[in-house]
Formats: sequence, C-alpha cells, structure tokens
Amino acid sequence: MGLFYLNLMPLKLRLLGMSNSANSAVKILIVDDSEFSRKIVAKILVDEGYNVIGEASNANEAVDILNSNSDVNIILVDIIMPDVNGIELARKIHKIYSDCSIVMMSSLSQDHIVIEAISAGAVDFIKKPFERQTLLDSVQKLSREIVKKVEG
Amino acid sequence: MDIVKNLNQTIKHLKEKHRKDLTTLLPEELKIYDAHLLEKKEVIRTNHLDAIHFENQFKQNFSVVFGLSGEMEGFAICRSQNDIPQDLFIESMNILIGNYLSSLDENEQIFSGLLAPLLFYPEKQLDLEGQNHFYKFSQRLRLFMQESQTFHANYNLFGENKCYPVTITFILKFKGSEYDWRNI
Repeated sequence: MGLFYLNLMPLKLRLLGMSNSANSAVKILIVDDSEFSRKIVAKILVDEGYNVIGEASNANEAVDILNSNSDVNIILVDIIMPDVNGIELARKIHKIYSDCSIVMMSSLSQDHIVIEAISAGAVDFIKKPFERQTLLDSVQKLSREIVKKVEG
Repeated sequence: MDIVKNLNQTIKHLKEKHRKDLTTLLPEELKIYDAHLLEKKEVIRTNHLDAIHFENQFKQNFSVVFGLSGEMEGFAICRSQNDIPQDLFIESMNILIGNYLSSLDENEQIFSGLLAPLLFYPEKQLDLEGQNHFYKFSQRLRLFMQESQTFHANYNLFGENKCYPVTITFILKFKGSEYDWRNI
C-alpha cells in the first residue's frame, strides 16, 4: 500500500500543478463574436495543452456545442455579443450545465456589470485587453478545482 | 415617489454641473494583445456635422458603429481605411470604447453599457438587405444628432506590421439615471 502511495504521489502532484498533459483533460469552450479574440484565447490555451473543444460566435452556436458536448468544464464568454449577450447566455448555461465553470470576458468592467455577471453564474471576470498570464491564472485555478473534484 | 423623483433630478443636476471634460478620460494608449492603439492628437469637438456626413462615409469606408446605452447614450462611429484587418479593428474599438465607459463610471459615476457593433460594408450598400440596414440606422442617427454633442478622437492602430489611422466619432447625449444597458 505504501509503495502504491509513493508511486501515485508524483502523478497527483503533477495533476495539481497542472502539467500540459493534465491540462488536456480540461475541456474548454470559447464564446465571442470576435474571431480575432477567439483565436487569441484559443492559441494561448492550446499552447498550454488545454483541450479547446470549440469556438462559438454567438449564444445559439454555444448552446449547440454544449448540447453535443455536455462534459465541457470551462466556458469563456464575452459579454458584448449580438442578439443574446454573454450575461444572458451565462444565466441560461448555469441553469442547465451547473457543473460547468463560466468565466466572463469584457472590455466593460463596471461594478454593476461584474456583479450581474457573477449573479448570472460566472465564477470569474477577466477585463479585456488581458495579459496571457491573467487568462492562464484564471483557467489554471479552475482546472485545479476540476481535477480535485474528479479525484474526489 | 415624488421625493425619489426630485432626488434623482437633483443628483442629475449636480452631476451635470460638476462634470469634468469627459473627453479627458479617453485612453491615450492601449496594448491590445499583439496590437497597439495610440492617441494621435487632441480630441476635436464639432457642431458642424450632420447625419449626411456619416451616410457618405459609410458608402466609402468599412465602418463600425457601437451603440451606447445608459446614463450617457449615443453612438461611437469608428472609421479607418478599407484595408484595415476588420476583425482587429472591431475588437480594438470594442476594447477602447469599453475601457472608456468603465473609466467614466469609475471617475464620474456615469454608467453606460456598450452594445454589439453594427457593421457597414460599402459593397453591401448595393444589395437590398444592406440598403435597409443602412436606411434604418441613418434615420436613427438623423433624429439623435438633433440633440446630442459630437467629438472626434484620432488614433493610430499598429497591428500586423502596419499602422492604420482610426477616427472615432462620439455622438452622445446625457440621459440621466434611468437606464438599462441591455435594452437595445
């Protein structure tokens, strides 16, 4: 039992420290009407080994992707989008896929909007433009929580 | 109810009386991922523009218009040269205007939200859908410009190894404290 424990420890530490291979277990969806922004976010995450399972340019596309990939762990959602804005989308997603962590992204960062985003179910808020590390810090923190939850 | 109404009017009056020059809160410089926005020169106020000026501009250049809704409402009309990478242009304007509105709230307690952009492609003016889109917006702009203030801000957008001049025209009206930024 002791040997088994010792053998598993490095793996567990690696998972908690989130190596690139562990990152690949984290499924991420990006929702932003700006292709420019989606590509930048996707590149940063893919470079770190995260599994970006899809990109959506509006709320309807996001819901379609989620309907066929219900095990998405993290959704990054822009607020300013046509038709259905990111906060309304977050509210909808949070009701149906409550296990999924929602991170809002926006150039608007007024308190009212941040509060509304959090009450819609978002767990984090990233102000645009952001540094690469700001995005990674947010996703890494959530990934660690996801891994811990999976490990029980 | 009347007390609340009177109080709101007093607050609105005080805000208007003590308001700073709001153009000074425009960002001078912004790093946007791999691109860079730099303010080119002083903000220019003008009373000499009308909706026809913009209608002509929309026919010549790709333009992006953001609606502003809230205590300060109106439009931010963004123009550049036609070869500007459109996605970089739209996102950088979204970030610049969004940051400006956040700064207005933080410094002057004026809350406004930003709406999804309307895009005007010169070539689209030729088809029916493009003409309808253009006509509806022109009508709104004509009405709105009768009672609003206008100023321009010029920037250089450095991206994809090139520099693109960008002009943003803000057409704004101070509406007061009854707002819902999601309503348009």
